[in-house]
Amino acid sequence: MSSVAAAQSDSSDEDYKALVCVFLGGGNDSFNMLVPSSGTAYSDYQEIRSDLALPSSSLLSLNVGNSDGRDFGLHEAMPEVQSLFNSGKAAMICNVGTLVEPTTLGNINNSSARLPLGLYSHSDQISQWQTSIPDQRSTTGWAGRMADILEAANSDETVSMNISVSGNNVFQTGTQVSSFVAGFSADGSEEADGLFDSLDPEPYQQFLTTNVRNIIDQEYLNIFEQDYAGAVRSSLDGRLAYKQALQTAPTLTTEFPSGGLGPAMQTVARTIAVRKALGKRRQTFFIMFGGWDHHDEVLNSQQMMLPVVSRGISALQTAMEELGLSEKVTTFTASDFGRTLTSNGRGSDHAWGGNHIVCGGAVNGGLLYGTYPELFTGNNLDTGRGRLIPTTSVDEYFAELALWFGVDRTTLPSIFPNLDRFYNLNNTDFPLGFMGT
Amino acid sequence: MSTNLGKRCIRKSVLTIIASVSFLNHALAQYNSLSDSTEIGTTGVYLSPWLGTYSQSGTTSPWLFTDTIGWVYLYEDADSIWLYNEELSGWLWTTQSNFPYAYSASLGWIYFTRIAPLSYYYQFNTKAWYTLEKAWYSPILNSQERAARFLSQATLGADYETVNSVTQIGPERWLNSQFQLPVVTLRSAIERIFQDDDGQYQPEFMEVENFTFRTAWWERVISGNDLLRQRITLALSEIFVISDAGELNEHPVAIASYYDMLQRHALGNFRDLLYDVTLHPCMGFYLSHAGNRRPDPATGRFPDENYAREIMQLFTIGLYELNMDGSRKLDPQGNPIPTYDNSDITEFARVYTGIHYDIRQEIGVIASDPEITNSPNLETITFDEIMAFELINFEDPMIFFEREHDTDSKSLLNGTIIPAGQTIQQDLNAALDNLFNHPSAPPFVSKLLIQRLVKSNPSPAYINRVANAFVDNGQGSRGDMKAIISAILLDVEARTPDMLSDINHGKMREPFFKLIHFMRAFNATPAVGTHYLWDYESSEIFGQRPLSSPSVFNFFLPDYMPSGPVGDAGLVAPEFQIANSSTLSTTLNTLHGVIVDDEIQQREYDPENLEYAQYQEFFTEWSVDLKDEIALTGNLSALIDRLDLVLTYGRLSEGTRSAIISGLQNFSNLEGIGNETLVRLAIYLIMASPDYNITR
Repeated sequence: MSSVAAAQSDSSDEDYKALVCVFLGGGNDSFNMLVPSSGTAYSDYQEIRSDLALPSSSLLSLNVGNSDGRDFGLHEAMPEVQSLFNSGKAAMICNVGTLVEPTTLGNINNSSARLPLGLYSHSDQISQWQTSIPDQRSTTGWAGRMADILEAANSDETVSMNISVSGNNVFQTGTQVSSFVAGFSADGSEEADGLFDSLDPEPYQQFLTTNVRNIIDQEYLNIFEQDYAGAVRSSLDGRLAYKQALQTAPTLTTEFPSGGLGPAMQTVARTIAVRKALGKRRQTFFIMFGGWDHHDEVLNSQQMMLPVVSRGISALQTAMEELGLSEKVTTFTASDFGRTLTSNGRGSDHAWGGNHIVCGGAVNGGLLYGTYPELFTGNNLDTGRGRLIPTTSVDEYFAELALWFGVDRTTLPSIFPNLDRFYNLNNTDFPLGFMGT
Repeated sequence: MSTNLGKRCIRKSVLTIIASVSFLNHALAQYNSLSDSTEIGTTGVYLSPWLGTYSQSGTTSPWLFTDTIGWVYLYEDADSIWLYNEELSGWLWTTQSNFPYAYSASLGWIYFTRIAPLSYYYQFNTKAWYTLEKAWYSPILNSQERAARFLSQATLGADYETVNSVTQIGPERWLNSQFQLPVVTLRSAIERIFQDDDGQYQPEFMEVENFTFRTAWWERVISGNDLLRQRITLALSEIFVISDAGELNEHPVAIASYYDMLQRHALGNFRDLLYDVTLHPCMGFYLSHAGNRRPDPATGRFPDENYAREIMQLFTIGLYELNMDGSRKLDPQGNPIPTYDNSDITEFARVYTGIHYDIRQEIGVIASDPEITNSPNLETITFDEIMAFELINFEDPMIFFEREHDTDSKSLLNGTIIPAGQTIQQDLNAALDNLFNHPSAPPFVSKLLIQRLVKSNPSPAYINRVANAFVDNGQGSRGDMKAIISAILLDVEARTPDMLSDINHGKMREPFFKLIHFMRAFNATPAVGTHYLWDYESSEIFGQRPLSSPSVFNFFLPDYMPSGPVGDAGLVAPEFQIANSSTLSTTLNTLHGVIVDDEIQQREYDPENLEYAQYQEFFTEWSVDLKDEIALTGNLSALIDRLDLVLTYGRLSEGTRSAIISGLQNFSNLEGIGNETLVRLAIYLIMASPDYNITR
């Protein structure tokens, strides 16, 4: 506990911030995560969702501080998020999605709207939620572009400020910076095990490390060989540095779920705990949690999978409070798209706008942001089958997080090239207000 | 082809007398016409004053690989030279003084010339130039190295003997001999291996953690002689993706059935493949069209769109209309043209309604159960009841329930309309034909396959040539996989060694396949009868495990661009998507364990402990055959030459080569490093090198 107490005592004025992206891969049916819980709003919901409608009595009530008169509830499998929301540590962002420009049903029907590439398609939408450039196939993501600017503020670049526990991703890929992929063991014990540990005095290990490095360090002309050699080099260097840093991690008393997002969140917490050893003032984390493509069995699947999200987010929040970093770490969800409000008889299909969770001590919580749509059949956002046009763009959602993270307003357009279509860059207010005013 | 080569000669040539008399039994060790050839260095490549550069596929073989014509079978008599060339469909007559002029019965007089990397001929009676697509040659690689390089693209791994065999017969005839090999199903292996003490197949044992599928699969890829079929099947498994990372994990025999279906069509026809993929219950489960129902306006129910979308986006035509060379068609404003929009998906979704598991046997079981009253029958059972009774069949093709099919008219792509009132079979065939015959399908599928086998960024001309083979196999048939695969593997862009000097050429080896490669290159055999490797953590170690992708989008996307020189060049490198700071190191660690520490871990089936088998891990040893290599340890340079041929087709760079040799010299000074360990270290260091990890 003493090391944690020490971390607490010196972190309050420390210039440190982290963003944690929890990506619900496959397209979470988030109109069953955040649900209107009474009156006409509920009966509209019930009618359009038919056999997918949740009973209003099952919903966990949210004390919405900026209610427009409608009541809202959370899926019953998410009591931890309910508690975070009602205590002001979490907010919900409503009907967010990829937009090239502000878009209406009229624009779409008369074909004048510029629409995201590969709308309703997993691979494109997963990518665009990470790039925030839905009208291009960008090879860099917004965390990567932020890191291109902000990595210089970190004192050591051996281990990237962008850390993924879920493999390579475009979100954290920049022009110069790419992600460091933390190993698959929850506690980092697999890092640099066995081989290539120059700390190991065993002569064989020394020979092996030296010789593999010697081969990798040869000059290669073929660009694939160059890429491979570079990637191996940074893998060997990064893993060694990461292992050394993790050896200094304090023991956390926070209990993480043993499965689900628990191990990933524990890795995030431990990595944040050793931020100084890694030489970091800014970090982003990427967690891909897949399996949300519920064309089938949406009700049962969400009943099993939403608790994983709820407990995972909650455990990380508790750990950050333990480290005294609650104000400095913000967790947010992303997902390919929302799903059709109408049913296919067993589940729901690919759609567009969806609802999301933001959590952390710096969040202006207990509030809904953006506009939660009317859900009645044939409403003016419905492109068919209850595929709703987003009323808030991912650009606004993410630019808000970037501003909080420390991106200068003048450099925002280099990270979000389409942002000015949704937000006046001369404003001094935040785009949505959940991270600042 | 080797078996009917003689027959073709006789049929196609006017020179039948000479061909039939001399062809089959004639093996000349030496030709008078080539007696004044000189070897270029020690490359095994010769220069003839009249024929140009050539290499002989063996000291007594009449097959020569020539600079100007490609593979020829040479016969000579006192005053004539006869050259048999498959691409020109027959025998050519010439003499030392006439060549490069030659006379062909079918083409008349022709004249050869070579402008690297291609060779051409001029046909006098048509007054036109033609390209000899199969004539690729460069003194950069000797004939063994060319064979090894070909095998690095056409197989998951080949040993020294296979390299020599292909050196002898050439890639075309090797392909043709592979085409003849029958399908050996995983199912047959499962039934053979998984028997109880009484020799009875134990189906109840089947549902254990992948065990049966993986055991049969490892046996197939490690010891089968159908090298080409396995390579293509795995390529297809990364396009028509299903995965046991999820609920299908509990159905390994079903996964094996899916793999067997891919195996059957790997060298068959793409249209048949598409049909069987669509109706395979694993796909029906994975992309949720099993149990898809016609729309019901009363309850606001619509057909499931999942399969309708992915079959177009991933399996057949892609998102944008393509030219034959794989480039996007553009509208007058210069924008790419989407192949379909969401209304098209809604239409196709209605085609795939009324399809569900073949529950005929299961329904009989229920009917005979006295506990169940009101048991359903096949004619009336509803899809809700199929779900309620948990009736499944993940192994046999799905069947049609016409009463759940949307029989309204449907509009497909490019103006095709399905009339109302058709059966599921009719609708399905119309929809699959619509996609199969779509102009984008040949370039889309061709490019995906080229990327799996040869290179990440094929030239438009290469895609175009393969797409044309997709359209027409030369006999008017579309979608012939043999023609497509031959076009990919024999293309000048795959074969010519000139590509080795193109710094943008190549692809990364798939990390998991390195394990297979090691085992195939050095003839790994298990000490006991079965082959299951403990590959359970492969997804984490390598970033991939066959048939266990995290999603239908495979382990990596075909257009993944890594940051670094490849991305800077605007090129893609799909496999780099799984090469990250974690997998690159764990792959190196794991390969070290397998190759150097001899830690190939195996689980074994124990018929006496069926119910506990999933918990028992029997680690038995595999042996690899390294005796030829161990014999070379006295001469490290010779050892590396041998390994360089088998693993890197002679393309280890000078820097890598000397780094490895000096490393091995240091290692050999360490205590306890014996000759076998030295060989294993040499293999490991080569397989750690960028030279190995990028195939070119």
